[in-house]
Amino acid sequence: MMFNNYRRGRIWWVIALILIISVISVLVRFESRPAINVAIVTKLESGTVVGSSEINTALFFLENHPDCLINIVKLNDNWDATTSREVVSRSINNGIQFFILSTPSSAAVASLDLFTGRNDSQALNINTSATTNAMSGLDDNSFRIVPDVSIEQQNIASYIQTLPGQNILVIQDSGNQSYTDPAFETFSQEMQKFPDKVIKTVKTKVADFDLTVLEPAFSEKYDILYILAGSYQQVIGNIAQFSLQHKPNAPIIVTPWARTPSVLQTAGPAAEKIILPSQFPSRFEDEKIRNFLERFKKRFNYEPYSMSLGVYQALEILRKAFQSGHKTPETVKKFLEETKTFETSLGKVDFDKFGDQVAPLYFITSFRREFE
Amino acid sequence: MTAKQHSTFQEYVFRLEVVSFVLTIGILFFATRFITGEIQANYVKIRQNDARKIGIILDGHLGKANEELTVFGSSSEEERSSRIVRELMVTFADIYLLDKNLSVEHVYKKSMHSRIFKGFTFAGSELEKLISGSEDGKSISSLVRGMENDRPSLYLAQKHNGNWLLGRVDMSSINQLVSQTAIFSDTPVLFLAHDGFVLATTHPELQLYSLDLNREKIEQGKSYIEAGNRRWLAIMARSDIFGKNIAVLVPLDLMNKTHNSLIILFALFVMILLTVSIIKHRSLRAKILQPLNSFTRQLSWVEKGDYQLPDEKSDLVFSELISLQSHFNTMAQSIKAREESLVNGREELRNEKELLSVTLRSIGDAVITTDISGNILTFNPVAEKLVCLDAASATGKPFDQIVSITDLSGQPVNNAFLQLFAQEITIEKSFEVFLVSRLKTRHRITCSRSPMLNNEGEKIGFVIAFKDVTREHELHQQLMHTQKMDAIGQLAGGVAHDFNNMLGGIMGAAELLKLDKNLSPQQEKTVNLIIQASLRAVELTSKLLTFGRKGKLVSTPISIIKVIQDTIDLLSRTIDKRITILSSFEDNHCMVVGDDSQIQNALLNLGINASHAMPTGGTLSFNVSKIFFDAETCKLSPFSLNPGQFIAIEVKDSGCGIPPENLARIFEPFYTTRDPGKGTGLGLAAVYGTVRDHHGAINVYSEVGIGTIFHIYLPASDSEGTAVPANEEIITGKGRILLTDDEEIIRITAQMMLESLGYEVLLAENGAKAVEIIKQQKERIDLVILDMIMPVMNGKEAFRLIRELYPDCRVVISSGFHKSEDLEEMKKTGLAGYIRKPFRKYELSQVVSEALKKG
Repeated sequence: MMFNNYRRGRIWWVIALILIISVISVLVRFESRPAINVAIVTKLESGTVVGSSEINTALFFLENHPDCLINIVKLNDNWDATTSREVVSRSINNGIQFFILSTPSSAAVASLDLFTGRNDSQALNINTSATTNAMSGLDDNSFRIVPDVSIEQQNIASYIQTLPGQNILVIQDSGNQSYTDPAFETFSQEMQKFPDKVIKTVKTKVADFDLTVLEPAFSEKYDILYILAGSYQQVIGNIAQFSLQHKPNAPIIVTPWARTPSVLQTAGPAAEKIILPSQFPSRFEDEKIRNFLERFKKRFNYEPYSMSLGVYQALEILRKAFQSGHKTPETVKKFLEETKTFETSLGKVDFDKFGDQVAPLYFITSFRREFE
Repeated sequence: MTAKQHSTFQEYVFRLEVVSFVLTIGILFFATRFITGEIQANYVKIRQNDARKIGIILDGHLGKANEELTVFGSSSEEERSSRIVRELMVTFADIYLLDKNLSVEHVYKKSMHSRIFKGFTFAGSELEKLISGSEDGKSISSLVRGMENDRPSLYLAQKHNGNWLLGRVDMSSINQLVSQTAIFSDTPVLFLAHDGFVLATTHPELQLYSLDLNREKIEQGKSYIEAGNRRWLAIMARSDIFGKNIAVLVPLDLMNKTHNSLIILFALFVMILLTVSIIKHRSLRAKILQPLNSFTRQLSWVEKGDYQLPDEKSDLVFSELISLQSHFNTMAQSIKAREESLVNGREELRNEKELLSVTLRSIGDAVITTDISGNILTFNPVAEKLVCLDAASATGKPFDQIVSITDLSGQPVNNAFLQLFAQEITIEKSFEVFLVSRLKTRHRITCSRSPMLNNEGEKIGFVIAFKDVTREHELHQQLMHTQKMDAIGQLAGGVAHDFNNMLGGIMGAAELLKLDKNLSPQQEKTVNLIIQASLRAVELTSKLLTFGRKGKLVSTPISIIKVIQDTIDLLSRTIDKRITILSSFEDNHCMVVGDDSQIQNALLNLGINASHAMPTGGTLSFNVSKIFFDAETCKLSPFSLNPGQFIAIEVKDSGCGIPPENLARIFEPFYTTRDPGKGTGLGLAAVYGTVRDHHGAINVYSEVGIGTIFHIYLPASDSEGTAVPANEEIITGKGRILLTDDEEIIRITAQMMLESLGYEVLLAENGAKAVEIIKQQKERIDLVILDMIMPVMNGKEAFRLIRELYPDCRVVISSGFHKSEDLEEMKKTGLAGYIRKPFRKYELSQVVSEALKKG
């Protein structure tokens, strides 16, 4: 009996020691979660339109999936191609194998070889914003949530074709030619199918809002304005308002990359004329989108940008891959290629055999209602 | 129901340690938290002052611009000179004059490129609320993303005369204004939109794009931010112009360091406390608990009887424990001593109990112990034998149920325990009763009892002892009988002796008269009658003497016929005269070798018993015959018989007979069917013994109402018996004879006889006188005749002295009553002869002549 008491005493001491060590471990914030790093590459700058939206989306995702193995690594590329490449390269060297690129096409293209030129098992990325065709049809470690520019512009052209009017004024943003050039090319090619539509193009850096260019363009006759600009630039709204001043009746078609409430700030009454093509349906047509946006706004007090929805989808897809036991780029890639279709909480994602998405665009006609 | 589980002192101490440890850690933890909280709170307060300074700086800078804008707005178009505008443009990047529809009427720009053009409307934007809310003369500001260049801008709206004046301040200038302060004080400033978006910051490298909009947390100083690998506390800086749109990040490095230091200190304290607790616990265990456990082990050893205890001072540190050990050792030694004493005591007790048990088993008395109520506790073997019941059956039972008691008259004693034993009586007093066994045998017992007392002197039971005195009583009765018989014999012997003396005198005188020649025939006849009567009297006294004679069996040839005749003679005088005594003798020569007195006694007993069986008279016959027993017959006999001729003596009566159930026991000593006190039960036992002693046999046949026949078989002898003198020749002689007799008449008559025979006679009246005379006359005494029974010195003693003095002196004993063994002894030592009194002249002359012939 005394031996048992002695042994019990020892056991008590062991338990006490374990508790203390545990407490100390908590105090020194010792963590040993075997998380998988997933880098989100975007523009992280105070006051920027984007960037914080993606990061908060990732945070939102982790809060909604506390058991997730994903550890978010924030990478700022300033949406600059050079910076983007440097950041991605350094991260790959540091062992990060999974990336979500929320960057424009220029930056995406600049980093493309980092995913294709190296050993395939090194890294894998899911792109939520680059539409460049340079990434299309390639058997690489890159997957895209968004359709490429060809599909995008084909859809837009098809829609514009349905609008009344003959003359189409296209304001092409020269500030993002890597996007707008192939976009316009596809658009114009597509519009050739509709010979009754006449396209006039004005190439200008929309961010400059050069009235010397815009004034004469808008002074001329046009029935439909197509602002071919992306990057969620608020100036799109200014342009729209400027167009309304000249042509009050002309519908204003924007690109999916204008899906931002900041455009509403500057569009003024022109918002009624704006038609927004989008990879995601109107919140009023899709309960899941609406629910997500409302929950996000409630959490962070602002609306996320459309790229953020793509980030959320990308995280869901990666989570599913990790949960299925695929934890290397090679195995995840294979999983994505084999699975192809993913039903996410924000809609279906269909990958073709090259990891590109083929999906139609939605055209939101009530811009103000969408963002008020 | 299991016994209650007790925890150990070690567990208790351990729990106490754990509790105190946890409490201490808890207190320390909360103290640490409190201290860190206090430090942080004070730090935050200090930093909040810093934040307020930022607000003050900004207000100071923009206040002036706001005033200028007010002046500008109040001025008319003509008053708004370019100089004024230029001055305003130092602060403002754009100034818009808006109409009621919030459309731009006029634009004052710092730079040429602006996205706000004339006709641009702010309606529908977030500035609409701001602009609409402005009042005349008052500014409202809002920090938003500029619509001109996407850059953070502070808009100041004022209303003047129904129109609005909207000024935009580019935050980059303001940022520059506060940057130096912020960088210098290491307190980044964040300019926030209403939704928490960071529109501008003095530290863009932190990559902070939004703040937690839980403003309460910020205002409480609890909004912690991780940015730039550092930890910050966000505090809102109040500004009249910016409102709550300015957040100041307070570095928590110092606090973190302090916090970490406290944590480390806390952890160290915990480790130290833990170490101290462990050391304390181990020390407690080693110095107190283990000694206590050692005490427990020692106690268990002592409990098991092992008193080998360790040295009291070994391994002990504290005086209390040493004292405890010392006292414990002393106690153990005392216990050991007491135990040894107890063991010895137990051993002694065991030995005494064994002794008692052995004693009880060995004791010849029955010992029964009872409790106070009379229930039997112990029952020793003698009691078992007496009661005919084993101890196991008796133990626990009431005394009266087991032991049946009757009084000496045979009346049962009811409640014997209470009446006889459970009384306040002294221990020594005993009494006699009869105990009737389970087999209905009766034992005469003496009872003694004693109460058993406890230490307090209270009675707890009784010890009852029974002594079976049945045999003792029988022996006593036998002794009494024997003594009675001896007394009778003595009496008879004494009477016979005296009577013989008298007869001797009478016969002697008659003899002397007969010598007178002058007697007439009638006188001679008369003298002859006297002599005849005297001879018959002598025979009678001889029988009496034979009856009273005791001593060892004298084996001499005796005539059974004579014995029977003597017996009949005695019986005819003593038993009921209505009983007819008959006798028949098949052969006149029926000799046996034995003791005539014993045989006569045996026949007398049979005759007396027969007379008792015929209370109204009857016939008693003695028939003697001879019978031969062969070896086979002797073998079958229960008696030790040798084949040969036997004398068969039949004693037959016509009495009531003996019942068959009593026949087998009639020869048992003390067995009697007569009432108590009326028969000893020894008569037939004596007959049996006599027959056995004579190597004979006896049997009995009886029929109730008819009578009883006893057959006695004695080995026949060829001896002729004691010879009677062949004639009455009177032999004369010469010599000096010393005649010694205490009876004067004997002396006279014997002297006259001897002198008539020619002898010279000296007289002495006792043995002493005779010795004296011999001493005086020693050479001149030829023969000494000594009487046996004399006063002063009897014949035996005188004979011894005479033979000592004169070994060749001839001595003849003259006696009427003597012990035959005395005579035999004297014969061995040179007795010359013996003559029985009363004697006749011729008997005397023949004995004297024979004795004088001996040398």
